Amino acid sequence: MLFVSRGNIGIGPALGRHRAGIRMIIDNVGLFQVIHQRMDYATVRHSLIAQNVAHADTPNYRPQDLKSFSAALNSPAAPKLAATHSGHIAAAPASAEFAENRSYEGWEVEPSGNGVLLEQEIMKAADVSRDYQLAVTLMRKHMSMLRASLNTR
Amino acid sequence: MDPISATMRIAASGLQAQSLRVRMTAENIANANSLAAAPNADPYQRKTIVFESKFDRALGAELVSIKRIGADPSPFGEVYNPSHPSANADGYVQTPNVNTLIEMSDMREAGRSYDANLKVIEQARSMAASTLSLLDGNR
Repeated sequence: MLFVSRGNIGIGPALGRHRAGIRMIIDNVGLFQVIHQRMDYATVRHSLIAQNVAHADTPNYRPQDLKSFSAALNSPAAPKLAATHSGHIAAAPASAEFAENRSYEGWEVEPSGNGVLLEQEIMKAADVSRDYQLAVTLMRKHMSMLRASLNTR
Repeated sequence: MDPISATMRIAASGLQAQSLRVRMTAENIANANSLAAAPNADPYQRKTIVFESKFDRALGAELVSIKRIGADPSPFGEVYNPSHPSANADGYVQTPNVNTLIEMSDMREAGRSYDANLKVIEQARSMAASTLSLLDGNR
């Protein structure tokens, strides 16, 4: 599932004859955006895992997790205030926001009410780390493709 | 704050809490034989530690903090030793309510949680390092 936004890239009809080449680059840019979101998702999820691990011995703490990447992307964005005046400044979120999986529960709950299982969290952390490495490798590959096309004379 | 730095902060709060827990265990084990100083005084009372989660607004995440350091209310032990200066009229001396076996297993558990937090920090660092490696021009 790719969310490719082409809205903010200025290409007028005058450049129509270069269409094929430019299309390829734009598609690459869209891919960059998806990879970027994927990396964001991995880091946000990793910080939730860190929170769960840190609370491995806190009474009554229930673990938290995000929805899957595609579900997190599909969920509606948080409502924003409309900017109806040039003086209105849109508040930028501190970091990307992804939907939380509210029905998430750990494998078991301890008598103290703590639901964190270290093994499960470490397994998830390994998954996230692998995802992140995949995204970085893809990013590097596409950067080298772009660079190759720019270096050709 | 970016999520990777937030991850480090959260894991660091976990490390801090667990190391304080190990400290409490060390205190209990060290005082496992600290008898009462006078015939009717109490011996060393085992200390307990309770964690809680505290929401950090700046970070947007829940950090671990110490809710309270309490005293274990379980009864003290008694040994018969009439020659001891703290022995009562019947010849019994009160002993601390510390069970070293429990303390050792508690310490093991704290060590395990500490390791898990360290592992998370290592992982976050390697993620940050791989992002920075994108700046290496030649690859």
